[in-house]
Amino acid sequence: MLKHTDLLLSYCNGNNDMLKSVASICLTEIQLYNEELIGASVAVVDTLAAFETSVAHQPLLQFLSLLATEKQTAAFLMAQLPLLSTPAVAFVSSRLANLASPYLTQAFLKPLLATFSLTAVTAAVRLAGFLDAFDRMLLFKRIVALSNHPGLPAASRLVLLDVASHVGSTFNLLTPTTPEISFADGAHSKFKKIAAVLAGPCGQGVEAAVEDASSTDYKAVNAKVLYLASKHEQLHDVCKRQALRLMLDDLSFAPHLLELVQIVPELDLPNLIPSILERTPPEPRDLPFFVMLLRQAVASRSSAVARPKESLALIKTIVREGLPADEAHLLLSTCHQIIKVFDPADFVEEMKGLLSAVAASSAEEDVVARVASFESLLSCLTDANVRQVLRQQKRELEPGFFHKAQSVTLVDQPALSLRVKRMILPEKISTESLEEYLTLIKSRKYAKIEFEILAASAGNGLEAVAVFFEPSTLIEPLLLGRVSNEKTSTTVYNPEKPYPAQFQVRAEFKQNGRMCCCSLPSWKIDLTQILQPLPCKERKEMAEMLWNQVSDWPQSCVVLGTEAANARFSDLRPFAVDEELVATFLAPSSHLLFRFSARKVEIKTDDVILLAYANDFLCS
Amino acid sequence: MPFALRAFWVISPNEGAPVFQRLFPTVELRAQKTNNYQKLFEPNKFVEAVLVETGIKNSESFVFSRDRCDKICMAPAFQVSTGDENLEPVVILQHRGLLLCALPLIEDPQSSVLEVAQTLDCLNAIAERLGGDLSQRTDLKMQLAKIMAVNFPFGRPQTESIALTEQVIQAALQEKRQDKTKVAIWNPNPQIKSKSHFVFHISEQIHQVQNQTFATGVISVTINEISSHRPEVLVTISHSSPMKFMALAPRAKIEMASDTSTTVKFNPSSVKSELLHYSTSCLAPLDFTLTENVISKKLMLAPIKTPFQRLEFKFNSAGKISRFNMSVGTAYEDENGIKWDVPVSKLKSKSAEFEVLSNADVKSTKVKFSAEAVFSMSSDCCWSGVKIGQNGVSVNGSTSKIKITTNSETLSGSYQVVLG
Repeated sequence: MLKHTDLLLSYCNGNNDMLKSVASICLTEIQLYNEELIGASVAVVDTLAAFETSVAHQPLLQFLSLLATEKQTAAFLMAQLPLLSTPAVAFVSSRLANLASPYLTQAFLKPLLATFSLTAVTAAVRLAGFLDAFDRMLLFKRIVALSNHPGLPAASRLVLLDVASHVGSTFNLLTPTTPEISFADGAHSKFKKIAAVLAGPCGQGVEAAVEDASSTDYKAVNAKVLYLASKHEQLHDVCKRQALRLMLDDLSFAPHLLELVQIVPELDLPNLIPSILERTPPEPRDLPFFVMLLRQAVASRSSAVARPKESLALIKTIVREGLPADEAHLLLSTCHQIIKVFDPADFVEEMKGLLSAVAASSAEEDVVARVASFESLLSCLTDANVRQVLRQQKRELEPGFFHKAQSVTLVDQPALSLRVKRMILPEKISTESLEEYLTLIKSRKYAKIEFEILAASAGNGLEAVAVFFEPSTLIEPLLLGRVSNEKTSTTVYNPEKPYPAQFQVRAEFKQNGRMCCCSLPSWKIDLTQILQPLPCKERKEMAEMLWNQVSDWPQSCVVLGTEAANARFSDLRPFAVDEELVATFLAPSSHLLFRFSARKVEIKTDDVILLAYANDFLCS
Repeated sequence: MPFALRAFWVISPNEGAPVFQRLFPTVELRAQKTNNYQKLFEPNKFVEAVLVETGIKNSESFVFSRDRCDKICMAPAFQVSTGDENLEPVVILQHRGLLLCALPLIEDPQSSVLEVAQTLDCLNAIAERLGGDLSQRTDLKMQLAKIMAVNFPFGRPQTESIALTEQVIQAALQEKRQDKTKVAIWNPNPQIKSKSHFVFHISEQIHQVQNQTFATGVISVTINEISSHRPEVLVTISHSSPMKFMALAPRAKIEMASDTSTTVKFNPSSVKSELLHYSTSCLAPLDFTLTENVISKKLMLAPIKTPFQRLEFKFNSAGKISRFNMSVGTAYEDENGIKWDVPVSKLKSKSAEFEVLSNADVKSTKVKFSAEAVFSMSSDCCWSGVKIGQNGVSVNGSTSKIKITTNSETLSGSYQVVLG
């Protein structure tokens, strides 16, 4: 590495301007990654930069700013700033800020304050700590004014709003008490402006909730405003009023509102259904939203809140031909809820009317069948006894139902035997780039192994079987439930390292009404069990790239007998990409490659310890 | 840590895979050292997540990961998620039907908004540089690959304008042109030759909000025939009313300002660049009265001498509009409301009328009604009176004559005639 950096440094001192420039860009990148790598002296780079007048000037100054530790260098950098492009000014000045340089004068900062360039604004904000209070306020006001200037693109104004609130909160500057919402603002700008005020101590401005609620964007923004406002207790009443108003204006606000109420239970709105009923009737497109609200209301078990009779009558009027199956099912489930919770005698006519309307408007066989069963249920329910059974809560559990530690019986014989049936392979990566593959392979998806395990019971009548592995952090318990003879289930193994491992196994189950526990033979996961084929679509190409192009992986070589070599190769056959090369992947993120040529086996891997395991495997 | 991009994508809403993707491995390594490292998604999943997050997919329905009320709004930066994994802040800019997306390296999530701002600047620069037919994917990819290679080595932007980067590199490659007195050209201040030609472009929009009329505008400048020395150019902009607000290009400076003129000093470059954003008050270009009762709303335009090229009114009503009448011009109705096209030539001598009749049986008395004017004016006119005179430009240290061309255009911004 040092050799390379020396070479780059020598290029910086050459005659070719372009080469100088590229070399200093590369050096900057290396320095950014690892500060100790480059032994460049500041004085040398300083001199180079001072005399440089070509395209290499800017990259050299950036490199110098990374190396700079002394005030003298800082002063030199300051003087050169007017020659740089704005992004480079941002780069160098952020380094100067780290040096806490007294040379960072306000005279330099002032021009940055007057521009509309976002990069210049960020540079100014990063250095705002060096400004006095007056100029800081000036900067803040400039940013607020820019964020309201209709001449700038919308995206820039949105970002400037965030920058303004960042500056405001960092330096404790006051935000205006009422949001200045202008005509040019979209949903997001309006939200950001309101949010800036709501975040303040008094939390005013919720009345300014965004008006136009036609699109999902605006609805989401309205819900966000209400959520922010609900953090102030004194605003709860206003929030409720606003939420109700928005809701009544457009029923499709329902999912947003329900989600809001779930997060902020204080905002619970009990009179939604009655309010809708009092208003002009909803349209057919509002049906799913109305049903959604009704379900919520039914859960409260109060007929004053849900108004089942009127609600059912209303739904009947808005059910139209061609009702989608999922909406029909949702509606029927709600009907079922209503029958369960309230006394059907009150609304039997409305319910029957609605059910026949649903059956008439839907072409789905399932829906029609379900309607028929509901109708028969409805006629049965006039009988009070049947209703009683339906309404009865599930049996209460007796105290002491759950077992205590003493009540578990230890069984000596293993009641189960486990066998790995197969490994479930993760989805394959579709990339042809080695670089991308090596990045993607590190994702969490490939760091785990999913095993399908077949459990065979030795005794019979095992219930509530659960198998636990120790250490439990690495492997999830196997939950089997009732095992009469054989049962398959999956578990996930999250290996820390790609090496063979061994787990203690313990089973808990219920037999003849007793809780029992037994230990099972420990589970050894050996190397062959954790080998996977390369998880990419082009296995052969990727295997060859890994073998040929990756140079920094450890390699080794073993010479075997002809028979042994053939036997090992056939063991590895599932992972072979051609007649010589075998490429395997080991979770969490390692590879093991073999190249068989007659009796010689070359091994290449990215984990040096795997070499030892591979040797053991080949020589076994 | 200095600013750098971790990745850049171009997404087309109709394609499952990114049109273009560029990852920066060295920046990725630096990102892995930070405490809040988030892995990049698989390309196809990323596209899907971006389309849902920006509301291009599932725009009508409630999507929990996008619309939930406690999600922080960071637009134009977004938190995109696949359900169990998140990636933020992905800055997204829509440009000619494509989505330009970039992910900056974030060191401190508290101040990530600054990185977002700089990323947006990068995306703006890329958008500005993308030309030609963008549906030609091969050509687009070549353009993008070049932009990435030229202006974003290791994900770090070199200049605010990619055209300038290309120019600088061209100059460096043609070594013959360079002489001993050459100066650093990353912030080039080219020499103005005797025949140099300044082209100023003033683009103005007229807004009317709550009966206040004002104009906002951008002045951009292009200079032909320049080479590599450092002159400073002074330009005097005259205006009939005082400037309310001005924001300058980086390193431009206001030298003198009065109620009727402003002098700006700047270093020119040969690529078209924005010099100044301004806003100022101006006269209303339209003279109208509105009479309304429960069922009808009548808009009357008085004759006026404004040099309109095109004038159109858009009427929107939340309630049902049953009929409309007009004295001149044509009108038609579509799902967005009614559009009335006014023949400009007739307006010079005659007044014009438009009447909207709404259904009387609409129960709600508070029907929302709004009207907006859309117009453009002839190209030699700048309505607010912002001008650059023939003698308004001088170059420091040069006495030679300079040719100046000024183009102006005036359009309507948000011009509300009736507020809903």
